[in-house]
Amino acid sequence: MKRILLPFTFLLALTSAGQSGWVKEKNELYIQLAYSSFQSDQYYNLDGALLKTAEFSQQSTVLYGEYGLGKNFAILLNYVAYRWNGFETTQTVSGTGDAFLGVQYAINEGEFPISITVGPEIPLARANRFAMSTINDFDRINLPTGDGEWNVKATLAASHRFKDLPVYASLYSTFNYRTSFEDEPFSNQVKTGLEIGYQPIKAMWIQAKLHAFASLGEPKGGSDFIRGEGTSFTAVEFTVSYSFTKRWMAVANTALYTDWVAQRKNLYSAPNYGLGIAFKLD
Amino acid sequence: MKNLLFAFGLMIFVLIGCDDDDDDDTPTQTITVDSSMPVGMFTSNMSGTFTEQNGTGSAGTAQLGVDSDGTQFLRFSNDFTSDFGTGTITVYLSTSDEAMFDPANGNPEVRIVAPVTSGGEKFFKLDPEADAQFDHVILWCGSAGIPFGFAELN
Repeated sequence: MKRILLPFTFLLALTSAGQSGWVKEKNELYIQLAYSSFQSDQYYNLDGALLKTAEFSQQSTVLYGEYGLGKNFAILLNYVAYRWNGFETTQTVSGTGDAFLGVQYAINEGEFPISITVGPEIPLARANRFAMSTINDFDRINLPTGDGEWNVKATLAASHRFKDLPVYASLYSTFNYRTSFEDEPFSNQVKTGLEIGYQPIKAMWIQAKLHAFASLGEPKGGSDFIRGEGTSFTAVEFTVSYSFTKRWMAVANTALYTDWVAQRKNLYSAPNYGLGIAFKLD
Repeated sequence: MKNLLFAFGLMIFVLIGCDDDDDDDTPTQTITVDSSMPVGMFTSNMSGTFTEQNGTGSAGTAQLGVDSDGTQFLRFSNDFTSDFGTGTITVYLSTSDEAMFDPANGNPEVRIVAPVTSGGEKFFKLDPEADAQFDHVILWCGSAGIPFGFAELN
């Protein structure tokens, strides 16, 4: 059964890896560099109530990679290379983000490949990034480009390519074990998703994804949306990728948040748009 | 492949070092806040308990009163707290539990008191005295425009 090499999700609130059952074989490589942009003045607070606030903007460049080590193992990297955060009322602050580095293992191969990916998310970003107000000379708001904590993510994924059809499906579930920042504990999180892919022509893939994300238990610490404590949402995502050479592909993506499965809480909600380029060796 | 991995590592190293430096090390600008403390005894005329908003954990009591010299102060109790990790919280006196900003008309419904960055007991000298219409205290995140809590003074 031929494996499918696919572009990775742009939606940065869902930073994880290993969301398919297929594992790269030895020396196979996939690298994707993507830029995404997001603006919103629609904030859902910890109770799920909608507030209209000053407009928040975020742009990110994300580097994603998979490399096959052989013997059913691969290493995965998801690194927020650079991020810009700001409100319409503040300066824009920027810096590198955090990086997830994991090992993926193929539990099962064949028609229903299953994989597990485990690894830490490393807090490379400065945990506090204060943006000064452009209106008052005393106001500032903390908009860090990472969440300031070490955490461990484990993802279990299964996939299937339908026989004689250019269609595949993947199902995944991720558990995020969180720690703390400046003595403020974080709640663990889970997310699960379903992905359907369709290949209308040999060079193109169209993907539709549904993700649900939730924090476990009552929020423990600070309420800022940047660190995601108490955050939950459902997201719908669409991706189109086109291979313009044997090795290179262009990727376009859009995603939006909804309440279909998990209610939006502690989250700025608006469509997210992204463009990227990917390189593969197989 | 070794060269590629070296390039990744070098890029990560460079990006970590290229962080924007215009915020953490920027000297904090200040407004003029009168740091006078009450003379003699502080007598409360009106008080209210903070109601938290938006999961910020705001709590404590606000009191409006005068010292022995008759100077008006706004006092926060020892157990005053909020979510200070998000940045500056600005204290306003208000005519209601909702911050109604109207800068074009001089903000008649709100009066700025001071920014706060920590919990615990605080005194804010009010000079001139607050008009009687201001019977609420609001905690406000100005950058995002999100209320952190309010106290109705009775």
